[in-house]
Amino acid sequence: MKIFRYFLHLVQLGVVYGIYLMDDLYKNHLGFMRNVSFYSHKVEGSVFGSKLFLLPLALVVLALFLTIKKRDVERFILLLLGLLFLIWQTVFALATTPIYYLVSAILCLVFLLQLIIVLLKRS
Amino acid sequence: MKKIFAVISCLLLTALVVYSKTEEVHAADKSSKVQRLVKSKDIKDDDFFVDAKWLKKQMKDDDKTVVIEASYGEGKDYKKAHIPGAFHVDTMEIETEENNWNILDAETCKEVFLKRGVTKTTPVVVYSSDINAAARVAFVAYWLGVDEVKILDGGLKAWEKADYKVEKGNEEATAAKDFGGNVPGRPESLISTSADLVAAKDKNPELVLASIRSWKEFTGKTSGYDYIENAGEPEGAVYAKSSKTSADVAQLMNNDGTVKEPTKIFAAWRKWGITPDKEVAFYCGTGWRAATAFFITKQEGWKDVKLFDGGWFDWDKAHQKDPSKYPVQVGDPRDEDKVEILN
Repeated sequence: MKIFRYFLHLVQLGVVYGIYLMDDLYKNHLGFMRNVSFYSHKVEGSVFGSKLFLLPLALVVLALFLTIKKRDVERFILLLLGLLFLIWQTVFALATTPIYYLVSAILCLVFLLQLIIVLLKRS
Repeated sequence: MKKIFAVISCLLLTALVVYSKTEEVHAADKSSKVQRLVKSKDIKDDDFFVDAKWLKKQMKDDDKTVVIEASYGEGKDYKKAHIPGAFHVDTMEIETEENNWNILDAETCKEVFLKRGVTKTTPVVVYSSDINAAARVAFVAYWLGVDEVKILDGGLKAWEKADYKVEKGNEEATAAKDFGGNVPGRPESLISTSADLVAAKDKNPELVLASIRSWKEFTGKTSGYDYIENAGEPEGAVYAKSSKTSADVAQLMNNDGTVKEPTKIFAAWRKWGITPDKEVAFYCGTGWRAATAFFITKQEGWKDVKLFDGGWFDWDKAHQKDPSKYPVQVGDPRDEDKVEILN
């Protein structure tokens, strides 16, 4: 189980590296850029997009709850990731960061992987 | 048993040798069938497509010549290798999403070229790994009024194949201040938006609206793009066979990335009424592929060709707002039973 947790941490690092890849793709591949731009504006214009800040907020509350319940490194990382996601979601915007929603999706994924790690450790 | 095995092995070996030889012959046949638009010995002053040898000589004879590498983005490939002295132009400098991926206003585009030292009288040669990107940027230079605009047939590959040297990194341009003429110098070559197209049709009802898009796009089976939700074509459009997908003009190109001699393709276009004697507006999704067709027809002496830059992207948006003014056809327009008009 310990090895699996380490494996998941490696997956997290790979997913974070995905941010760099997405940025590079956006800046150098026309089709990708146009598609990302199109879908990002679609998300922003939807109800889901306008309420999206609630997702990291809920995740932070969950992380806080788990950290208070039992303090260890994995739960602390979970809280930090939740806060990072929340900060990203509230401080940055699509107008200034074209891959805003892609990064949001990646941060959410990293958080969920960390949550799995925490739950695995708990069990 | 051993004998039978030996005979079968011999037969298989013979079959393999015969097959590989046949493949070689087929490959040789294919390469001998390559018919290029650009013939090194016959390049005329008013041609738009030139080869590497011509460019090499031009750079030697006229040091004012500006070579441009056109592509979307930061120019990663350009930094790895480019024609000596060439400048990178990001296609985002001449078009934006806010503008429906249409070419920006003439003053903004003029600045893009002035920054690279290009004025009205500067010979400009554009190349790219994507012929459509080269044609797109070359078209803007042509529309602005640059006297001599050329496209390097085959791009950097052709340059390297000719064994000419390349450089790495970036090039610093000396900006020019005065373009030397009003822009756009050739406004008649561009139909920008769907409203402009309707106006052009009103002015000349005989105007041929030629779609450079693939058959699947033309008949409304696909929009061709994830960012275009609806499929179809402006009503009255005819099929100018050129593309296999929404990202190529494969029917106009040889396998080595050079432009095909277009006699056969023009014959296919003629069946749809796309002929050199008419006013023809080429379009595609957002104006890239159509720019290539624009220059090929120009080179072949078609007098009244235009680029409908807005293309299907702009027409579809206009149709969503006002279907009766911007009607759409879905299907094969040659057969009334197979086409649906949305208006």
